[in-house]
Amino acid sequence: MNQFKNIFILFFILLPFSSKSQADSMEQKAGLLKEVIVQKTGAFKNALQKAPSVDLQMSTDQFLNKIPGVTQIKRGNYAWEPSIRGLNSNQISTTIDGMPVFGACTDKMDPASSYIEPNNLQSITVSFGANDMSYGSSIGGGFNFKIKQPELNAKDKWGGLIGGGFNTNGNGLQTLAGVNFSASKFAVNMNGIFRQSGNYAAGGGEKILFSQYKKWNGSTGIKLQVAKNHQLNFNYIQDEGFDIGYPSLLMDVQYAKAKIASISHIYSGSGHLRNLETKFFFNSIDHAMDDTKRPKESVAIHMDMPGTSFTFGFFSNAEINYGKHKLKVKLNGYQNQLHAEMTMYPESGAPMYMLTLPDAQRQVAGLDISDQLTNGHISFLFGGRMDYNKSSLFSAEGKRFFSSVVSGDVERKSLINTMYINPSIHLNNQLRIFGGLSRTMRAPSLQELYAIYLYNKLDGYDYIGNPFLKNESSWNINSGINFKKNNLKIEAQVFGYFIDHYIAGSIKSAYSVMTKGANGVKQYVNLTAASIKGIELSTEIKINADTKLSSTNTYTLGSDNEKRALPLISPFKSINRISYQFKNYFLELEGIVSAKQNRVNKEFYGEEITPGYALFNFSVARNFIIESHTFSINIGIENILDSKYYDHLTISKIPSVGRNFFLHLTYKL
Amino acid sequence: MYKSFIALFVCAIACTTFSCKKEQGNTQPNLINKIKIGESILTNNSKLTLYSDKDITTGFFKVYASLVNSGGDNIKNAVITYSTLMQMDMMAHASPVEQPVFSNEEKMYIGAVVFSMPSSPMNTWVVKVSVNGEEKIFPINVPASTTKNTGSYTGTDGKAYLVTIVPPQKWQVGLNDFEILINQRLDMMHFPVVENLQVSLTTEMPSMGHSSPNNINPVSIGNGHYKGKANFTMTGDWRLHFQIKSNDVVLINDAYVDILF
Repeated sequence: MNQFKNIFILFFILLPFSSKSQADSMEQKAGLLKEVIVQKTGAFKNALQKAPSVDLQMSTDQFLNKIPGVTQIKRGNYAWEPSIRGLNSNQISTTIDGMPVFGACTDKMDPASSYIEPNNLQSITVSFGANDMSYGSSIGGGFNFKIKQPELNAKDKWGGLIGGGFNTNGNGLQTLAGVNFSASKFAVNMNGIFRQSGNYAAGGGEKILFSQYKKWNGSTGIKLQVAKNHQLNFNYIQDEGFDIGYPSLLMDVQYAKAKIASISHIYSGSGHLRNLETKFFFNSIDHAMDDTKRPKESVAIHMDMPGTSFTFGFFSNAEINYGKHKLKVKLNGYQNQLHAEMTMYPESGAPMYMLTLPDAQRQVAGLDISDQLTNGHISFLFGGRMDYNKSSLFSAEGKRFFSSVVSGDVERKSLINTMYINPSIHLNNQLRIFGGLSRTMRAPSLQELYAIYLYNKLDGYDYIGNPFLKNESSWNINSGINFKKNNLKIEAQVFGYFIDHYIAGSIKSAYSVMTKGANGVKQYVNLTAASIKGIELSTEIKINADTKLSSTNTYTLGSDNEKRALPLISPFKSINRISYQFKNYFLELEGIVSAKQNRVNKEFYGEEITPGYALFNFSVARNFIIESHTFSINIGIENILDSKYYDHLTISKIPSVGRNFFLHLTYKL
Repeated sequence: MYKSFIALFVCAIACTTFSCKKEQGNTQPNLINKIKIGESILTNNSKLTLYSDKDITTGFFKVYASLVNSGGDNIKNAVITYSTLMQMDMMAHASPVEQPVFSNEEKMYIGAVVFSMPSSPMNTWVVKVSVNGEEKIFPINVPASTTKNTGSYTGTDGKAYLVTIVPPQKWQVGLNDFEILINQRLDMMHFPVVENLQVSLTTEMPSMGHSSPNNINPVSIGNGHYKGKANFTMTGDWRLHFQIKSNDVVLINDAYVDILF
């Protein structure tokens, strides 16, 4: 891993499919089941840390929650929507192994991350800005969830894992199993997980109705060595959620189903061309909202709201090493189609049918070139990306429905350009300074272009798309230092995103609301500017060989051209951990402090002040090694003080989970 | 060059001949999608047949009259007039009609009738058709429409008005062209059209309470008809509200019709 990418990689090595180097010693093997190493290059170097309370039985949401700088918009106890440093999901790119996946729900109930489970994954890459890790244009980085691949020639021909866990709060349980087979020219892995939870109790004991969920996820990967230096990979993930409650919203989910498939060819060489991966992929998502379980008096009008998302495409990535240069060239193309409809059933009168996303389609073709040049103590990563982006409506019905709210030629074509340079200087062995300057751009999302009365619970407005939006663009700067001496590691960074043509909703007074009880209708418009600035500070102190203290502090400020506070920006947050390792026991006490968020704007963005809170978590992990098998127990208490709290990014101020005891048991063959 | 002229010439002849044939074959009334609502033989043995586009209910309906002589030839130049009468217990009244004109396209006389109320066992509608002075009477059963598409209102000037929707072939999501017909009820038998009023339109979904944007107010196009556009954001029950002014004075505050699709 090079040193100056502004990214984070979480490695899930507790899998039975760990790499050879990690499985070398028994001691390490023992650790495999309990550790997730957060490996991070560039920015948060200190985050190279063990997080023992994280294991495969945690949800993807809980994993993401552990990454400093990542905040999550919560609408319930399931499918949190990740954002990075206050940039919303439209401003970052989310890919699964390089494949763009777009949720089908018009109320953002199903971000792509809700369709994958930690046991599908090898790592999560979080990019905080423009760099060579991205798979699409964005304002500020994004997520790439790397799928776990089976391994050829593994030490053990067969491997497997079973586990089960229980949460007292909500009577949640999960069971998972995995198996893998490895030979010299063929390897396969399969894994599955089932999770369910009832309604949880918030701090103080209040039951949060409609916070239940149920899901299963299964995946398989096949790797074939077809010739020397040539491999073929097949991957398939199916994820189905049922009866998922969203206490923050007006409706729940009857089902949310995803099928994600890919086939790729990988050439790895030792010459100038180190690696060439070409992948073809498709994914389809089927989602249906449901209000039939809600009490009659809270349902203004019964409605069905199904939606689908279908994406297919390809990418080809080449890595070329040439002297001091490390060149990466990516070519990609994809098409995404979104369809969402609503049928309302009044007490008397005929059912009413409308499209809420009128068969919107996006076609993207992109070229991405980056070079990493290292010369002594100085290195540069620089590159650029150009996307051709075409958005349109693909059906006559869709065009007719959209014409009822916006008239004119709604097809939209544009070029998206991104350029960046990220220098890094090692002043000495202890101190490194790094920085980044980039010009980024993104096309408006299909929802921002073509929404038809999509209700936003945050400000209570129905939203209408605007196909005449300009692309949002941004100048991003960041700078930081990295210091490491003896048992002390410090990293500090400041960043700023200076956004032009910021996309937000503006009241459209001539339009009457569609959703009963809504405050009005807004249409997406470009504000002239907005900015997000922040500071991150991370320190780690090794008190002795067994004990470690770490602290991560983040503060972000967002405001638009009228000096209004941007919505969904996390207040100051401090995560502090003390961890202690004793023989095969691993203890960790975690304290999380979130300040009050009073930088809010009610009039324009509909936000209200969120009080601060403090939380404490404690966990103990222990591994038993029985012959060559490992049995691990992870028990813990979350929210020890049973605090009643909610994050600023929680929609409708629904209190989060109160005190919870968890027990995770895993047996690795 | 010469050859191609010949070819062109042959082509032209062929086309003309073909067109003629087509013309000849097309002298019969166009009965596609028409529903027969009455039939009668005149004293000269010509056959008078009435058609409509759809099943008659209350509201505005085009009424087509086909007149064919005993030899089977279509008669284009008859003088035909329509009138209606509703015979009630103690009284009778008429309703607005539009007198038929021969259409070369349909090969029939096209007029229109407004059935302002449903018929019942005691109250029956007839359409009277006079052909060159000979009157034929067609009893018509008029069930109530599922939606209110015509209404009677007392204007601020004390006079009675009838406001009737002239719907398009089919309502759909998006912009719909439509017309309304405004008649004044002079007495029980006379319903002259009223022109040059100012009409403003607002839409409503009664079961939801919301309206739709981008509607276009109907404007007078003569003959009592006002042409406008209604924009529907979804299917279901819609109500069109019309505020009608005369010389900027409100005549009828809320005349409305209902639509379901």
